[in-house]
Amino acid sequence: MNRRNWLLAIGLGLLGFVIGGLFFGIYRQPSGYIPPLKVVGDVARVVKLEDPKQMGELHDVSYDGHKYQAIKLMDIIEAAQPIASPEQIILVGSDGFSSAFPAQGLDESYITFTGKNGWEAINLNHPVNSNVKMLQEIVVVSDGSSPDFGLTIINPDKDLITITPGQLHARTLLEYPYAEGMASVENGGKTYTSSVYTRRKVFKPTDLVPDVKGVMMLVMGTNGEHRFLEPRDYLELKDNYFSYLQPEEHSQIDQVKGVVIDPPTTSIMDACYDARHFLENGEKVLVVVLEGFTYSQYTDAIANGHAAFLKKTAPAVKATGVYPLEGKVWLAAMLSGASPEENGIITEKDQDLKVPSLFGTAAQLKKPALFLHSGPRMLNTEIEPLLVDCTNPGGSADDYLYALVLDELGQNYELIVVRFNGIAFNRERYGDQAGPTRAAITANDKYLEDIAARWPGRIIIIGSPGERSERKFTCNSVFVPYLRLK
Amino acid sequence: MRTTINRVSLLLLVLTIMLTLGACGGKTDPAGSPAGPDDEQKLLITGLQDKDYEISVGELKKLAPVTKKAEASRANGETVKVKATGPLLEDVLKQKGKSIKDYSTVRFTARDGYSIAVPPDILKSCSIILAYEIDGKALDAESQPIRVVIPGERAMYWVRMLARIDLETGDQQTAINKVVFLETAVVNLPQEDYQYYDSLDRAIKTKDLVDSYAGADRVKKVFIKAGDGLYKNETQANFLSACIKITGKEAPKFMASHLPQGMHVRDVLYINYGGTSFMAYSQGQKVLPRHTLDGQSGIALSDVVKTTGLKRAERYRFSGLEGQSLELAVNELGSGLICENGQGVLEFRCPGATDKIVERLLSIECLEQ
Repeated sequence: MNRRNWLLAIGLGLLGFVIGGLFFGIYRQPSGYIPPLKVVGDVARVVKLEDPKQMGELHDVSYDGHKYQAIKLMDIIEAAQPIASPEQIILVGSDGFSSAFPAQGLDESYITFTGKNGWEAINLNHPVNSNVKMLQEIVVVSDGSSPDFGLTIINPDKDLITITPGQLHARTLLEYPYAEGMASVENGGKTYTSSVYTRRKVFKPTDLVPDVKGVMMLVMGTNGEHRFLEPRDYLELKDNYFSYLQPEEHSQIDQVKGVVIDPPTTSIMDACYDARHFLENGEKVLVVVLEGFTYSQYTDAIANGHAAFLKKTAPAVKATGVYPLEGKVWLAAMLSGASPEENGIITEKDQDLKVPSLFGTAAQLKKPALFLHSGPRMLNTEIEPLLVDCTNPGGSADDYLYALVLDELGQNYELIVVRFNGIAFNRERYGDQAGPTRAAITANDKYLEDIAARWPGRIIIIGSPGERSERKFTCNSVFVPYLRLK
Repeated sequence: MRTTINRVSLLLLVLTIMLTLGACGGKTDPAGSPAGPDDEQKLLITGLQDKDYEISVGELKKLAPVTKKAEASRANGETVKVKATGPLLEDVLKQKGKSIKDYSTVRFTARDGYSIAVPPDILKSCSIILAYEIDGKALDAESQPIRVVIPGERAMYWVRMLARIDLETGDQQTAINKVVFLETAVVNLPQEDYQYYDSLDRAIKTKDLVDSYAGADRVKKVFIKAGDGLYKNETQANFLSACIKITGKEAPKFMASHLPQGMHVRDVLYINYGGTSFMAYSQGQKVLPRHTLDGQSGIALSDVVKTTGLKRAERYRFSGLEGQSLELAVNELGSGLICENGQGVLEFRCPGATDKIVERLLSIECLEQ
């Protein structure tokens, strides 16, 4: 090969090197560590960006004399599946610098990644200070219109506040150094230790309702947790939900649904203990569960003359329920005296109680017991339920149940549990204040009167939220009437 | 023609080399070199049974493995993703009739001395994999013989080169150095009426009890044990805001009108508050074996010590309500008995010695040397 060819070969080689370098420079992954950028707040799915190409197509953007390849901000937000309508977007930098702007008009908003500034916002239509560098989080703040997203704080009288994770991101929060653990290692006969902390965004429920002075606070979680908050405990703002944090015991509820400040002293779970007490005392007990009968409906029925018998009896006390707000979950809590977390009935699908029920107590005391309800079997307990599957065209089987209860009253049972669902059925179909709902309350009141006249023992009457009622954690759904009649 | 072919071949060769060099600018992860499994290596597990327990990697492999994709965050926010294969720690414990729920803390220690305790919130909510394979390959030398993988938890808990597992129950409460008998203690405390269903009973405030006999020290949890075997840990704040119903049905009963009934404890056998145990003789005589001494029937001192966890000491002081006391060396206790006399008053009796009787028995204390 002559000299000319060698020169040509070297020239082509260099050209190939340049082309290869350019090609792979463009298409290979950025080398080195890319800090994660998270989309949090009022979103169904927390998106964690660790690669600029993770969202697919990149857009060419020119800004301030530079060219960038960037992701559309709206694409990132949509990937996170916002809850309800996004109202505001907050861009949070690693140094805490934040920029908030309305969630509308984001057509020319982009996020890019550069070696110099990390994740960086490029908002072509917004003021320059919205172009946050070293971005760490994109917080989506919704308008709060989703009925079952966020944390609700109530007291026995009213709903105090409902707040979403996105809304709380924009408020004052305490950074708590949460001790994760201490690692140790032995080197050269010496022990070296390192304590690890994570900084948690925490708050006290009373921070959100400063006018309310609570002594006791009951926290309920989505998995049926039911705990009293200690003064030193916190609620923690996580990416898109709230959790309960007990720093000393290292225990927590992962997803808190609601907090009851100064809850009533009576709980629906007391039904189990009250009934047990009466049975042990040699008294017969009838437990009547009225599905769909909340405390506000009780007071309304008393005030408007829809429940003449209940008006004549001792006033009902307000009792706190459990979460989730499902009829079966509540029934299991009443029968077991234990929270859903402890008794294992957390969803409508669960059937097997993990703890003994009131029927087990009755069996231990050798007291014959009967469990009556309509529809398919709800729970597997120590006894076989007597199911009423004959429903009226209207949908409720309360009249059949009533007739059956009257028949069974003459038998030798010392414990009877019966669940009527006519109020819930009408309430869900027609509404709380509708005529059929009120008529169902009046009918149940009459059933109770007739049953009470023939039952020679104690009667416990408890309301329940119903099977398909709204799942929102509110005063109206959490509190029910609780009556003990002689 | 051949010259042209040579020339083109040479150019293609050079171009290929250059393109390859240009493309290789980025870093590549070194390929893992999986070491062969060492089935003979053993893990030491303490706290599982009375003696330390050893299990080999081979034995771990005989347990049903799980394969799970797991993610963990590193201190810098980076995410580690692996596919871990191995048995669950829960399944290892199950073999000995235990569950991870029985423990408050699990400490993992590596062969290189690194150790970390996994707190209860993580134990409760996560599955712990004792992985012998990561991403379908045997562990590398830096992770053998076992790597702990806890999906969703921080990488600091993913201990490599696992050598030891310490299981802690959290029951290591303050040692009990004093037993106070509830029946005698309540005599000098303010009592109030307590409407309990149809009955008007008497109750004392737990705060009065603690202030009088246990001191004002802060305790983490108050342990309450009932005669039927039920037990619970109550927070100090809840405990001190409640009362103990001392008469009527289900007494002694820990209760409070502001606490749900699920938090009440009936037929209380004893309450351990810091270093003090409050014991109910009335329940003790129902659930502990009955012994007889000099015609008197009661419960053995040894059973009181065993039940409450009173610590071992060289000498013990037995005190009565009126301030009288008796000090005895451990070898003088013999088969001491706590019983009620004809008037229903508690007393302590030692065998064969009439002068070794303490009437209106209030407490038994360990004496420091």
